[in-house]
Amino acid sequence: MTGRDRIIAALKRETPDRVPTMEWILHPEVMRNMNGAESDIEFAVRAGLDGIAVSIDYTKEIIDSRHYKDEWGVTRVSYDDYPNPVGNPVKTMEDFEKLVIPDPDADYRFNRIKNALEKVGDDIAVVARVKDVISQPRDLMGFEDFLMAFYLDPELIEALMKMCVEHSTKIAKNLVEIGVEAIVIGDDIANNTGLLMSPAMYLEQVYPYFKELVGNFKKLGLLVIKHSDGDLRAILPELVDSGIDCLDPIDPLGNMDMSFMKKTYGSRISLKGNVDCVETLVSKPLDQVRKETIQCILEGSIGGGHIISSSNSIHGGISPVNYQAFLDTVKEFGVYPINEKELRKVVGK
Amino acid sequence: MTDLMEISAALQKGRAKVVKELVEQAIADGMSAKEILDGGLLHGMNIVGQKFKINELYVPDVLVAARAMNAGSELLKQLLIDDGVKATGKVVLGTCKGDLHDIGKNLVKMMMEGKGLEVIDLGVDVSADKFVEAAIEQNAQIIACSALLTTTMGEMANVVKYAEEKGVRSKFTIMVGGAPVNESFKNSVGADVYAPDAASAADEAIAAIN
Repeated sequence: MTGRDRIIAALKRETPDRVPTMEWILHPEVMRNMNGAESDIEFAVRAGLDGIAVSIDYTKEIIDSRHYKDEWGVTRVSYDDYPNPVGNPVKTMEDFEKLVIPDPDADYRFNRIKNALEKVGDDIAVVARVKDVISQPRDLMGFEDFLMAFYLDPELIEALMKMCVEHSTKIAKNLVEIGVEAIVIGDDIANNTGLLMSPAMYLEQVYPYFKELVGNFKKLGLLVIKHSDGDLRAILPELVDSGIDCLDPIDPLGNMDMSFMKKTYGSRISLKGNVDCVETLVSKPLDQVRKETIQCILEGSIGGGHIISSSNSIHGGISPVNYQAFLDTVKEFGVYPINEKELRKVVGK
Repeated sequence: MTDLMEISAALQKGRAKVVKELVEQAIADGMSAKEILDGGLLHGMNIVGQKFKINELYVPDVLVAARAMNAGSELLKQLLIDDGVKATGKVVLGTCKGDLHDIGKNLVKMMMEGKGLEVIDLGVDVSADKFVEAAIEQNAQIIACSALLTTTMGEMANVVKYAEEKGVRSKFTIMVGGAPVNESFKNSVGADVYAPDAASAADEAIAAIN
């Protein structure tokens, strides 16, 4: 089986030959230190990852060494790993009406994805990053104004959500045409203590658009992974009902529990996650990394339908040695059929 | 006579315009600025904080409530100075060097102001020396550091270290918070208080000052 086959099988809740593994973000420094790779593709091939995540191309207008304006007109500061929006072009309905929405059919839009498919698409799953309905409006308006607008300007929220459904559906159509099989929609909707808004507000003002968009993706034949940090427990039934194929990352910081998720929703969706990337992959001793990885296999992988990964990303603080120990453990103990008894012995349970 | 409970209730619902009108009315009725602040605005914001803590209210609710509070407190600012009313305590607050993510920090500010604390917002990307120097200059009791990223939370250790080097460590309560921060991280960097959410941060700040 190729990595691509393993990821696709896991997303369809089937059982591959080994538990597949992939990450959304791989920090350049960690990749370089582990195997000298200069790109995600190179790293994935060398480290034996089963999939990579690739973004859609949007142009950047450089302002100075730290600031740039993206194709949506959002000014971002690129200082850390997560370029932060600081200049937000939409504050009112009037602004929105004037907004020039990037052309989903632009010829350069899928360069990176085409390149990845061409280079490694037969062997490694190329998962395209697509936005759902939260992150683009949030960045267009600014986080606080966006959240306040749910009360103060619900019509603007509605208009922005509709625009997202339309834009991302067009993007998805093009992705299918170039041969993409799976996408990740990564808009965060929660923090460690719960949703960013009340569950009632989410279900009334966001969920209908989210569900419509997921429905559009499914009609196109795509496999859909929903990612969100944080505690999603208040809306799990609705998230599963939306038609997603997989939920990620089952965030331990947000009290999300892999074994509960597997038992409760494992017959309806596959799961991706969730070896802790705040302490375990950063600074814990290697035998602990091994134990927690095996524990994750025990909780998530039995019966298939699991992509094992960090609980968020391979960020700059991750220890290359610990991440290597994680990968080695997955390859040693993640082979199907999982030898549950042996694994339990290793973790002492 | 204006009913201060009405101010509190309107604030909790995020009705900025109503809060402003009621505060204007209360001033016209001859109520003292301190009375209006404590009995109306801070009373309402305190309830918002408590409900936020137990997930009865969420971030959008806090944001609109804080906006309503500002609409009222703007009217009281000068009056409080004229009456010689002092804030409960003073906090310098910012996100750690390298970290530009400020919604968590801003929520902490709103909650702390909702407890009657004066908050000196140092903004984002604040270095360890800037935190400590600002606290000395402002004569603050609390230094509060926020980080969203595992790569930037290390700066919190430098804040503690810099305060020690300057010989002022015992003068300040150093608080830490943010998504990747927890109690054991707080202990490892030698900070004093970890708060898991914005409302708890405000409660902890009050407890530290008292």
